[in-house]
Amino acid sequence: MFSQQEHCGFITEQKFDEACQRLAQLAIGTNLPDSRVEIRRDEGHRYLIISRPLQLDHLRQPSARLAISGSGEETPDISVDRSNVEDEDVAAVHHSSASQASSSVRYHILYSISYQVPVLYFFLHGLPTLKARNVDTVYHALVPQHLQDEAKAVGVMGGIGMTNHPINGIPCFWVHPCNTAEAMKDMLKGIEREVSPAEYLMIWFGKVGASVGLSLPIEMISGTNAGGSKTYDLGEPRDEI
Amino acid sequence: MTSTKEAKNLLSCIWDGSLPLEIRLSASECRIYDQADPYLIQYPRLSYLPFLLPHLHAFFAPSFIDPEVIPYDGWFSFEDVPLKWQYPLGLLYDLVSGASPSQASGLDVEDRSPLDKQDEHLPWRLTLHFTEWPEHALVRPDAEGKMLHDAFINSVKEADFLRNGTAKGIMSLSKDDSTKLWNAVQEHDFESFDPISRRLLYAQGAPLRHVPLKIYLPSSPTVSEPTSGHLRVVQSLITPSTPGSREPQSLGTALHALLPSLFPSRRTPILAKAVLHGAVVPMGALVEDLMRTAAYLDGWVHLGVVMM
Repeated sequence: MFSQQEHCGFITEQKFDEACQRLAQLAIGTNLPDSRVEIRRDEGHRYLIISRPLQLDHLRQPSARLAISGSGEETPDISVDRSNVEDEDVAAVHHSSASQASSSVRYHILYSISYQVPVLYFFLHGLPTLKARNVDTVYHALVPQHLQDEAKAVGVMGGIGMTNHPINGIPCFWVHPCNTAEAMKDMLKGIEREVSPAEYLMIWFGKVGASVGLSLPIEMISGTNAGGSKTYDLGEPRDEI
Repeated sequence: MTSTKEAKNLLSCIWDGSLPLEIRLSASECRIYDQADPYLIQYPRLSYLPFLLPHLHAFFAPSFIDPEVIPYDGWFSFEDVPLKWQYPLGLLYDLVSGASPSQASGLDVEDRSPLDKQDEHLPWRLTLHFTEWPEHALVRPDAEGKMLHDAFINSVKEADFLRNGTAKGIMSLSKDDSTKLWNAVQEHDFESFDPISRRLLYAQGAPLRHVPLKIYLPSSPTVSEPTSGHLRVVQSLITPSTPGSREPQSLGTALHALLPSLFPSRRTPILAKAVLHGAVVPMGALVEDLMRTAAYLDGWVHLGVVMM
């Protein structure tokens, strides 16, 4: 648990580990139409993998947006917007229907020892190599319109860059974690109760994940409050899953 | 603690460390391979290979089969292993060349010439490519070479974060200083680099929290990625004192805590040795001293491990 005083936006590796396991449990019990959640353990570190089809016909609009507001005193307001607005302009720029059908994005959520926060790495599959390795594709296909400027503003080349995956070394995209703790601190300070590791991770999804199109079904999100430990006060009763 | 004189000596030794390189254009990209001269250069261990690309591109231009190739499509390999462009040359050499690190014969730093026993591996013979980017192994940089700057700054930031718990040191550098720092790295200019680096390494008013240290382990190539050159990197939150005591943390105590099977003893290397800047590091060296005097330009102690 993170108490008010304790949470400065960081999470320990052990708690991150717990959060991953909790989320993987929830994924098993939730109907996920097109996403797949896996948990892996490699070289002693646990991490989550979430894959979903890359819906290139939904480009540039924040489909499946997960918004968590931590600014008020209420429990996080969690809403998932699954509206389906076509963006013909961008869809036309991209690929044949064949490549659309098979393209996917694979998110890896790993722990950063240096920054003590979860870090998001991701791969684009089923696209021509040059597109799959071009950060512009990410801005087109994954970053919601309203977050474009923010995402591009950080660092020499923006908050989204490319790096070698810390475990398998394969080049992939990542969201640079240097601002994550600060952002999490802001999100958490509005919550006047303790936050479980799984909830921390869900809030992280809302902040970092949402910036590159990663979201989870509402069923899983509400599930993070159920089960687990009894030491936190939820503010309002919720159903156990 | 290391004396100031010794520390200064070590710092300048490391700054001046260099390797002779013999760079040839890949045979498949070269019109006249048999006659093309190699590019020879004595290059700083601390520096980064991509800085050479504009020179190399100009040098090899008459030999190109494809005259359209651009400088920042250039990448290096050693014996078919693609070299990560974001690693400093010295680190790559220590990890990939197969040369044995030099062992200090005495405590005098003057004796620790990294060139002593490595003649058979030198010059280090690298192959340069401008096509067939190894997508499975190397991040493809952009045309302006901004990505190297980006990777460097990210690394500096991460080190800063470990030392202070925030990246405020690097973030609070003025734009001018931050540009100066990067120029100093590109030009290998100690006079400009040192004052800015010191401000980062000796942050005012904040105790040192963690020592930025990464350990690179040798890994056998896997079947799926035979030549990716991927190395396992191990990291932990290493405090300047051993946890629960006021004893300063030595490299031996840190390595033993992190990799007990490779480093069963805190004092003596038994199965593996730690290598930094071409030399075996004594297990008794304090991690804080290593950070202050023997870090790479990004503020990290990038430590190679070789089996004995």
